[in-house]
Amino acid sequence: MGVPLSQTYGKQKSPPKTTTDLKLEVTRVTGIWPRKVYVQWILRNPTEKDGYTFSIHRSGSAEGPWTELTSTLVDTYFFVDDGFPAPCDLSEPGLFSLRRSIYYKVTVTHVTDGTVEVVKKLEPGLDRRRAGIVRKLRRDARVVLRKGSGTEVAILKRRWWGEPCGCTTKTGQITRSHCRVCFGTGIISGYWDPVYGFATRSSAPVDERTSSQGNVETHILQVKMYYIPQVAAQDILVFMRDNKRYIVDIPITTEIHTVEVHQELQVSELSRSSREYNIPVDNWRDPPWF
Amino acid sequence: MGGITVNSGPRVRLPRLEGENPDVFPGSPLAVIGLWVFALRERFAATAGAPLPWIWDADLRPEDSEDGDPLPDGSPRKLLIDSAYNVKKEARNYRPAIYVGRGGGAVTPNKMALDNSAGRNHQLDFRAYYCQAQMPINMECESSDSGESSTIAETVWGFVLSTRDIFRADFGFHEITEPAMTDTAPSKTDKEIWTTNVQFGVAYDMRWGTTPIAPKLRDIALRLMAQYPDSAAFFRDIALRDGEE
Repeated sequence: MGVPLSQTYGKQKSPPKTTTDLKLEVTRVTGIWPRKVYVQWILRNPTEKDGYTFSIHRSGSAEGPWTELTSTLVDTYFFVDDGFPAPCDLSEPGLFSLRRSIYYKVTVTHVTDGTVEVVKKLEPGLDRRRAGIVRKLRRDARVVLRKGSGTEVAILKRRWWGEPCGCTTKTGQITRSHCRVCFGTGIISGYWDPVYGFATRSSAPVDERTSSQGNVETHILQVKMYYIPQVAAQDILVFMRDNKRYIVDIPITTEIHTVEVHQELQVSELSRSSREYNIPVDNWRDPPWF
Repeated sequence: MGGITVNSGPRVRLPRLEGENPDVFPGSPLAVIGLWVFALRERFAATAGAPLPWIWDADLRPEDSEDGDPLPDGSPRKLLIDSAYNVKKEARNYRPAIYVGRGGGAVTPNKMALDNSAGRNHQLDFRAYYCQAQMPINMECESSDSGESSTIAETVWGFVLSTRDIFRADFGFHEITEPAMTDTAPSKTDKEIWTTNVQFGVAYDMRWGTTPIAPKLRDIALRLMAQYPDSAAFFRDIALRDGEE
């Protein structure tokens, strides 16, 4: 059992063993704003004292694609990611933005124990008691969405850094909003790989008003979804059953002990002529959903 | 103007498209806005001399290749060009787009002479008047991205600037001012959109005349009084058609 009121969540007694397989547990992903991110992990059930090689990857989405930061950590149980230069363009990520979500994939390789990997996003750590409460709430939210009110969605997280697209100017502005390489983001491929999950959306009337553009339609909805992936403004939600696509206006996370349990979003349905309808999303996943 | 019809002849160069609805008189806002809507459509047509990344097409549905896939990157994007506040169209929230309107500005007549007077026929008391009307034109160049909005606006701005003389000669405008391009600013509809405005003004001649009805009526009454000594004779003449052969 962990210390119930421990403030130092990294220093706790080991949990009871439920398996003898090698487990990798990321215990801390802490931002040292605005320069670095500190990543720390431990091994459960190692068979040897040494000989464990760790590699660290980073991404803007839990589904990747991943950028390798290092693969030469031997018997080292922390890593400081200082690759956040925050330049005046979008080539590298920075830690200045309030909505920046970063995911780390830690992989351990050992000659006898094999390979294990775990993905953890930049979020506060918890002691075991609080972590247990959070885990319960997250599970409840997931079950409600998956088995109850939710339907299948694909979440397209917008890239905020990466290789600039050829349609951008020297000042980083996009001259062709319907570019099929960057989808108007200015960064090649535009969005991270889709993350599939479940969400529920409210019903609301389509608001039609007259302006100089003629009849302009807006459709603002509320969406509830799981806490992963953490969405930010301008991410895209695709409701797979009707292929309607929404842009996230305002994400509001429900938190307990400073970590997210689920998200409530204000989204706006995209115009059917929007470029976001060109982003490929796999509607025929294997195994198929419906 | 290449591609759009004009009124021909030195005295009939009016600010109105040939074949325009007869209810739309030359120089009315609908007529003037229609000129630039059609001119911009010609400029952004696929057959225009200098190809652009955007083409105007009456059918705004995206083109597919023969096997149904989207066209490869670099294919021109269809551009909506329409008059502002036109609700009679199926397209909704389409971008990129150019909307031609007055930008909330008013048409104002400018006095060129005392009481706008241009002349008078004393015998009929017909009075002729003349002034110049000024109308602001605003072209909203709208896109999902500031860079594209700005680039489209630059094309429009250059087109207006370089065709001022042609427009003035062909459509009888007294003056077309140099266009101004505003800053590119965001706004929100279904998503964030960026708009750059190209603004200029046109001045065109307005002429009209008035013929008072009272002098004409008096003239008729005098003729009748000279012909008929009393009113009974006049009405008898009408009833019996005595005057007809």
